[in-house]
Amino acid sequence: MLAYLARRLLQSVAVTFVVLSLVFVAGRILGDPVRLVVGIEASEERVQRVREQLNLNQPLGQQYANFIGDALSLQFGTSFWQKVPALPRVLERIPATLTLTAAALALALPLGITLGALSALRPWSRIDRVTNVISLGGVSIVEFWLALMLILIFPVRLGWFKTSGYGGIEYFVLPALTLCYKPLGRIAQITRSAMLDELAKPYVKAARARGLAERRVVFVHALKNAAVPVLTISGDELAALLNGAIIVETVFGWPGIGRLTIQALERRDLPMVEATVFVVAIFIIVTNLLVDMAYTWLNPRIRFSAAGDA
Amino acid sequence: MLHRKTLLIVILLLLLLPAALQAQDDTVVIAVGIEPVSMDAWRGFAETGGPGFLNAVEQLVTRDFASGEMVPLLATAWEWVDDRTIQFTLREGVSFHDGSYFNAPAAAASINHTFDPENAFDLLDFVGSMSAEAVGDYTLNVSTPEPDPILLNKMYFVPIGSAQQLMDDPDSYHTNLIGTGPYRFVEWSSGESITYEVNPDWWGHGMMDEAGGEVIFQRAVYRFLPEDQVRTAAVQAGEAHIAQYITPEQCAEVSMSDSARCESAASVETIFIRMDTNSPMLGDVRVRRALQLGIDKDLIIETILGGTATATGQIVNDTALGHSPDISPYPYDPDEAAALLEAAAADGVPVDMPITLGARIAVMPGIDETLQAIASMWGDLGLNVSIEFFDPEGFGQVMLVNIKDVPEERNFVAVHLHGQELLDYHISYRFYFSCDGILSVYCNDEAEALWNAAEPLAGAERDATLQQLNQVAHDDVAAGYIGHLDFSYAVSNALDWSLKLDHRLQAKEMSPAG
Repeated sequence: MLAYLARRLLQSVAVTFVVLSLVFVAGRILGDPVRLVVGIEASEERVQRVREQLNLNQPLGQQYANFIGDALSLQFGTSFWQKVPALPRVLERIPATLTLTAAALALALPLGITLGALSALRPWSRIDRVTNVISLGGVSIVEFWLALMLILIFPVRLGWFKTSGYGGIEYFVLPALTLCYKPLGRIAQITRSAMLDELAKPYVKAARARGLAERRVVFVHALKNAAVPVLTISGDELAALLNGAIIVETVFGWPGIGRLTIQALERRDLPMVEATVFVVAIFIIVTNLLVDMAYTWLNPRIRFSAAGDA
Repeated sequence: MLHRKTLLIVILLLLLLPAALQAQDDTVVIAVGIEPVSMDAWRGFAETGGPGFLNAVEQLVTRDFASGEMVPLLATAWEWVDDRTIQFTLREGVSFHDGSYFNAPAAAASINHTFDPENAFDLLDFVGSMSAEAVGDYTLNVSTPEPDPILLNKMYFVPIGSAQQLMDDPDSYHTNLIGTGPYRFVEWSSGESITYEVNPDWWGHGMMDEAGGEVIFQRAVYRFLPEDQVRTAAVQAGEAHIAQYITPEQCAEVSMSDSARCESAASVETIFIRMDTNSPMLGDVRVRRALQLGIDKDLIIETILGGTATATGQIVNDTALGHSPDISPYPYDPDEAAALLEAAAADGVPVDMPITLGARIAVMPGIDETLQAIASMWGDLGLNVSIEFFDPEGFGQVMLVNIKDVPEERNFVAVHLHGQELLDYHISYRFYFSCDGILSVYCNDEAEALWNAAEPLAGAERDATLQQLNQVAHDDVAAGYIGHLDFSYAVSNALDWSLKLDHRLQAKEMSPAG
């Protein structure tokens, strides 16, 4: 198990390195960041001056070597845009995004699993049809539109909650609801499908034949086995939530890492983009590791395989 | 039973929430679209780049938009020493928010820092070089390298920050705004807002006329909400008093509400059409004129821009020196346009060359529809037009080029915005029309001579020469125009505030309604 984890960690370091290298290259070949920093009407003399100030006049190889060296010591330089060290600014924004994504997942997971399981227990019933509508809506809806509709209905028409901003529960409800709807839909769909598969398997019939209570059959046996694909999708959803957070944070004026990423990209703020990608990559890698470890609890065969590898 | 009780409590809380969520009475909340790049004092020259900065920093002079005259602020008087230098007499008894005194050495240090080429601040490109020298405790000389008749106008764009800060803690210049203004900078919550609170030591308390306003609100909060619909909703929900830059549709929506209103005013921004005048097709003045006669500007303004623009035939509005009252917009006359194109074709001008009509993404509300409308109208004239949208970087690459470097076959037409905040046509001409202008794809020797002649002139003489230049450029169709753009705001009925031409959002000009 430890060897498995060590191997996964090494893979993670390699992935982080590749992602950072891609960001470095993309940031420099997709246009001149200096021109965006200084504006369209700046003189060529000024452009050159700023290029020197930002060390963007060095050969690309030298820039890359500096970049990797700095990244290894967690130094991503000073933001072109905010004139402060990039990584601490990114880390400042992490709690806001984590709070939002955690809340969205905390809503989406139980609701999605419950709806999916109920739906699978009574296929083609009214609850199944309602769940289908909800889950299809979730996977199809555009978050930007949903966010604006929620704002117009709740704060503007009903006077409930805040339209935007960061703070207590009144600021929090609408962005969390917006962000949770898509994963809720996907989790409900996967749960329904996985539960239908499990409920049709012989061990369920055998359990029922042995006289086990239906609740135990469904929730202890079938749902636990159905949880493996749900867990997989939940790991993916957590990463997808970070993407969704970009839109939700922008619309609701939520000061998280998603909004910071967009602002940094708009301004070609290379240090900030690099620090953001680094932090997000680490977050996704850690999430995937945790999901892999959870597999071993849900499915002993995976644990055996990991031990066998060791 | 317990569930029912919980449900009741939740409902009660939800019903009580709205009252608790309204903006506090002593705080004015303003929703703006763009977060500043930094808190550098010089960024106060523009509201978009420095939201609310003029609450904290002040200039030596400001503009009275009723009379159009420059009036005292931190300077009480001034006189021209020679054609390059203005001597300012500074206000005494003023202090910065960090406790240091405002005097001539402090003002000189701030101005020289702002215009130091090593710092490479945008303001240097915007207004050109200048330097300052203290010639007494409260006497300051501000000079330009060359004679500059509009130097006084330019001082409106030069906020004065703390010299003590630059000396003791220069790094904090980017994150801590220290000036002499009616409000002190309190906090920049990155991604969220900037907060200012009243400065009890402001020199302007009790001097409403001289100080250009009075402090009523104790705090001013500028919230960053990039989506215009959300800014509007924040005003409608009573969370903000002003929403900056809303669309005509939002303006109409707000106008129907009881709690808020829409205020619009002309801005210094002009929607103009820049044509590659070195191409075999667009080099012909008949073709350029035909393109302008082929655009129904009034229709675009009414249907796409919601009436929030005024049709024009020149790049500056009537507040600018060089604006000519004699220049009218090119009328919509597709028959005349077709005849001009026919005549040009008969003389061998390749009027069938493909035209690329381009703009920067989201440069203004309705830009997509505007481009489609123009392309459709030009298509009706039999022209071969395709549309292309660019991100800021890509647009910079196609726009930031002088006529000498433009390939003749490019045949590119850009629809863009130009803001003439300095209220002087000479500067607009330099960028977009002069033979060496960094954004110019036009060159006309007659116009160039007039432009050079206008440079050292001042007052009525300068105005007359610039108007003459404007007329020459208009007759030669140096560029086309749609209109001068209005900017609109959603304003809570709980607030008294009148929009000015500079579109600045200063809390000292705001008070609770009634």
